[in-house]
Amino acid sequence: MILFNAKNIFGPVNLKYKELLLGADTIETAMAYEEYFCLTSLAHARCLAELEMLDMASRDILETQIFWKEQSRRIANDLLLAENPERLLFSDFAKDVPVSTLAEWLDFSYGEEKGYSWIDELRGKPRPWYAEDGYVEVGKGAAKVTSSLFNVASRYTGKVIEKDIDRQQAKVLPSFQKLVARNNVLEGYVEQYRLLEISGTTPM
Amino acid sequence: MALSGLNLVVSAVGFAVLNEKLKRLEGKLNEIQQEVKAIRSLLEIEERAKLSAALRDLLSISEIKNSNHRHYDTVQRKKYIWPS
Repeated sequence: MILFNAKNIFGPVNLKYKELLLGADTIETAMAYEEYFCLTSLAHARCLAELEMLDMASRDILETQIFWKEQSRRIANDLLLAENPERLLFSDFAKDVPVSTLAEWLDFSYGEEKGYSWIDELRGKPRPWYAEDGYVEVGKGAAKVTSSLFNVASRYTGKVIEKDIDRQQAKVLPSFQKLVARNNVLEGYVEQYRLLEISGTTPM
Repeated sequence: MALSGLNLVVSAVGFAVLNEKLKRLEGKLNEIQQEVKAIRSLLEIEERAKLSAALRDLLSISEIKNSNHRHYDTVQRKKYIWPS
C-alpha cells in the first residue's frame, strides 16, 4: 500500500514537471524542472518495478528517456549553445571545455555522432583572421581604441563581456555537463529495467 | 493674492505626492496580478497532471497481473475521478 500511495503521488507530480519542462524558456527554470522531472520519473518507475509491474516500469522509463532527450536537446540547442556555438572554440573556454568534451556535447545536442568533425564545422563559423575590413572582432577593436570617448565605451563593453563570461562559466557549462552525464545515466536505467523485465526480478 | 498663490502651490505639491503614491500602488498591484496569474496557472497544471495520471493509470490497469494490485489501483483512481 505504501508503494501504491507513493506511485500515485509521484505520477501527477511527474506529469506536472513534464508540462513545466515543456514550457521552460530560461536556463534556470529548464534545469530545475529537468531535475525534478527526472527525480519523479525514476521514483515512479521504481515504485512500479517494486510492485512487480516490470513491463510497465520498463515502458515508463523508456518514455521518460525519450521525452527527456527531446527536451534536453531543445535546452542544449536553444538555451546553451544558442546562436553562437563557435564561441566555445575561443580561449575563454580552452581550460574548461577540452575538444573531446566539446565533441561529446555537440554529438548530444545535435543528435549526430560526428565527433571531432564538429570542430571543423564550428571553425567555419567565425570571421576570417585575415578579414578584408581589418576588424577581426568588434570587442577586440573597441578595446584597442585609445581616445577618451571610446575608452568609456570599451570599459562598458568590458563589463558586459565579463558578466557574460561569468554566466557561461556558472550556468551554461555546468548545465551542459549535467545534461550529457544524465543522458548516460538514463540510458543505463533503460537497460537495467529492460533486463529486470526479461529476468522477471524486482530491483530489491 | 499671495496667499491664494501659496495655497495653489501647496495643493499642486499635495497632488504630485498623491500621484506618486498612486503610481507606486499601481506598480505593486501589477506585481500582485502577475503573481496571482502564475499561481493560477500552476494550480491548473497541477489539476491537469492529477487527471492525466489517473487516466494514464486506468488505461494500463489491464496490464497489472496481480489482481489485488489491480483492484486497489482501480479503487484509488475511481476515488480521484469520481469522489464520493
